Amino acid sequence: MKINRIIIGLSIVLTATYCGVKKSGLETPEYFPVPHYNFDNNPISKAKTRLGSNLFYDPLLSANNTISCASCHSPYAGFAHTDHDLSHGIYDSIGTRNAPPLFNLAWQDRFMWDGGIDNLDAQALAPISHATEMGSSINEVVAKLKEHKKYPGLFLEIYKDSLITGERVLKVLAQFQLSLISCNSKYDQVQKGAASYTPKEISGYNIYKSNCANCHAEPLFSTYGFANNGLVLDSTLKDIGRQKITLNPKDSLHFKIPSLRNLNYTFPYMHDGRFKTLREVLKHYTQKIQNSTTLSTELKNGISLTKKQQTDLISFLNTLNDRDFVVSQKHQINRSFFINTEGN
Amino acid sequence: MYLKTTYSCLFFLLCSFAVKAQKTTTEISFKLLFDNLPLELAKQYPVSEKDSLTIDFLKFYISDITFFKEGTQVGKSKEKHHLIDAQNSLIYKALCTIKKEKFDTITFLVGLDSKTQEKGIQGGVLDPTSQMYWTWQNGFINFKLEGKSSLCPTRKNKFQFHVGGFQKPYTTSQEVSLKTKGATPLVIKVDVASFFNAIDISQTNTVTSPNKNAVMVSKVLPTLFSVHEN
Repeated sequence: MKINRIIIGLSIVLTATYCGVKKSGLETPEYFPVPHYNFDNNPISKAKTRLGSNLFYDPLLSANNTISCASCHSPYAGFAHTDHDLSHGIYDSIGTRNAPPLFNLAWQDRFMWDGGIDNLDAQALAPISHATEMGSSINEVVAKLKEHKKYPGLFLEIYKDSLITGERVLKVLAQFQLSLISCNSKYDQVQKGAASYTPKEISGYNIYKSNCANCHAEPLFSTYGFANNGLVLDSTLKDIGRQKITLNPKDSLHFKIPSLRNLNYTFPYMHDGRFKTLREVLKHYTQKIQNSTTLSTELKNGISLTKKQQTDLISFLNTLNDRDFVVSQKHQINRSFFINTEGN
Repeated sequence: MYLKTTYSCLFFLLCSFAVKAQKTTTEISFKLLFDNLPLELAKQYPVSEKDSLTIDFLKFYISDITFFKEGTQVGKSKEKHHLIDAQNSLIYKALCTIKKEKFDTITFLVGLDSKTQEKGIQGGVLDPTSQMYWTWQNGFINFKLEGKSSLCPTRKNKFQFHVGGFQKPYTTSQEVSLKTKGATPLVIKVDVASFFNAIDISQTNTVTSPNKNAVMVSKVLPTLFSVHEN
């Protein structure tokens, strides 16, 4: 009797633990931390993720049906906008910041370069309604979806009613973005014991650990905090970063710390895309740090690296490129959905 | 043993009936006014001999309508959040459940509490299509008032108050506490003219993000509300 109870108790605990791991519904490596995203508010399902993917790739989200999320967040660019310093939007307009890559978003608690949005579900409202991005509104998007040939049916399948609301649209968009997990680079293979570094990469890894890891911490390669990394203020953009949101002078020139994963696909770099190559980035960190009261303490004394050390560091950074992630069919446009939807 | 259980069940059932019998559902109304007369959108209201103002848009949240008698809670509204929209109707009715005794105080929040704010995207009156969720920063707008006035030295003489913010130091939801004789149905007057008596729109006319001005404007909002009693 007592043993039975123990077994029942134990199985409850085990099931609970298993569910805890599986709770997010995302497949993630063991060495990843606990996600920040609250999955209780938006439980992941395959059908919702698929619907979110269709919306992500659908230019219907913009005022004149020309710009989709993927216009600036392309899968081949690690969901960033390769070779564009500032984002491009509707009517050939140019934005004021570089489109950041989208991956491992469940582990991030603030979005946008200034962290103005702390909720992934709400984030899409920004590009949808911004005059130089999609120039639309969530109300307009919902109205168009209601008139669409295919979407009402998809909503009906998932929610058992065909009601299309702003909440549903934003939450399925979030589901697709949450599914963008980059965890199959060489670094990840090494973590899993399936590959090993070359001597050059090992040297680079050590240089990374002593110079970069405070802000670009493993395994996500960012703390996703905010910092001033000593860039000179661009006089045309006059972007003060996080201070614009918090109104706190201590946050002047603070921008979100980007991940070092997938750098090969996500150039150009920095919030305004001012550097095209990693060499330029390293030149900045080793020679061009602009001192100011809000400069990150890690950079107060500068970073000093020889040419060889820089080459080794780049070798290590290349192990963070996740080719599987950028070519994976799973994240790409569902072409069959977009056939015969013209005129909507 | 079984008899005892049956009796106690019966007792509980009776008790719950007794409690239910004491409660009553009543409506409380919020009436949108300007200078004690029904608010008219797009109407020119004179504010001085030569200046006037018009209101084009008024929408705001009310949360946690609660009733008290001598400091003890005796009732609350059925829904937690209410969105009052001048374009929909000038009278907003909220269903409330109150114990069948007179209450002496009604309290509510102009805006949303921080827990609701932190939860982000939600449905119903909180759905982002209500146009009360900010797009370039966090959170819901608690109170939205837009219009024009010759007093405003702005483009097209527009004034825009999108009052929100829930993170310190810029918290903007405000509690309102009103004394009442407890007669139902209760009518709460929302007189928008009070807003313009307190805010000099020639100086403060554009507040669209959480900041000092938003906090200052939010502190005026409770003065718009009063109990209509005969």
